[in-house]
Amino acid sequence: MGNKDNKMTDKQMVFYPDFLFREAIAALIVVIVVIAMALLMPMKMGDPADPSDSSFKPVPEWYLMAPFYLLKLFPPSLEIMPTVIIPLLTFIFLLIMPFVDKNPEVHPKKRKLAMLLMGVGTLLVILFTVIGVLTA
Amino acid sequence: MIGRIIDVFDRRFKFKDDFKKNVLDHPVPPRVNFTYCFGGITFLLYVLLLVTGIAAMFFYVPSVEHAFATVEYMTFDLPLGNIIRGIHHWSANLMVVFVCLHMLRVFVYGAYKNPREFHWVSGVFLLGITLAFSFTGYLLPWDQKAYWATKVGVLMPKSIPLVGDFITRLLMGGSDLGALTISRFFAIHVVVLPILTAVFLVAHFLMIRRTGIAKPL
Repeated sequence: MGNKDNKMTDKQMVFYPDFLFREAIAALIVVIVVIAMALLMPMKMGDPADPSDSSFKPVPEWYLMAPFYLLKLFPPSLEIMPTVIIPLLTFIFLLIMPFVDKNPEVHPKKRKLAMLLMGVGTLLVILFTVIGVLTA
Repeated sequence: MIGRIIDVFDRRFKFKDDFKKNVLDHPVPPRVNFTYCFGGITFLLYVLLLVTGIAAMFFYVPSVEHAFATVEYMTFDLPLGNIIRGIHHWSANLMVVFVCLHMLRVFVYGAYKNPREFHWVSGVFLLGITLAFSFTGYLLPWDQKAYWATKVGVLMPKSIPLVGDFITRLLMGGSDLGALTISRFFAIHVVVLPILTAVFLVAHFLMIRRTGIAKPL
């Protein structure tokens, strides 16, 4: 019996209609959520830009908050670290990652080091973003 | 009716069989779960951004004198203007979320490994393009927070020895944030980045067609 069940769920799917149907449901949910957000949180305007008013405290959007927060962590003499070095190294690391990680295993349980590094990296980004947003 | 119209074009272009074989009947591994939707959702959000972005361009004027006023008109006076701006804004925010979720899913499933290394590489470029879209779009309403947040951003490359000043001047179009900055950011936001996106997206999609998506664990 169990064998038969496996065969049922392991049946090969095709893009249309099997996969596209799921994507269509997900797409519908996303469109509804986006329209609901636009309706429930209407857009506002700040004051017009005033280049002479340097007292304005700039706050970036949340997705750029991590590098913005790093900027505050380093002393001005080491400014190049958060502005250039760390973002550049992160980008280069992500680019070459598939060629550095030669481990052919795909299951997370057999890729402990890779999972640990990615977990720590992700947590740091989330942490910097949260602290940045809370202290801004 | 629609079938006959399609047939008229199929007689000239012969796309029907290829489309059925390569797109509709393309095999998908069994047991894919909802996390496999993240990439498709990212693309859907990009399409929403394109449509609302084009609509916004019908009204927006990228100049120091008119940028704020035209966005203000869209936000408060234009029928449906606030919704168009809102969909653009929230799609942009969600797109960053779903790019990250998609990357995390691909990482956890080891889907970036041979033979899909370059799928990942093109994806990392698309991440960079997404953030560049966000950064350049943020300035366009030309309000206080846009102006001063962008100032922090464009001054960041300044700390690079030798070429830093040049990069900052290149981004700003001069020694200060002004008329040329807004033209430049607008051109990058609505022309340069969409073209780059198209190039990397086509590569991303063609490669995933060739190899198929990675099998679930």
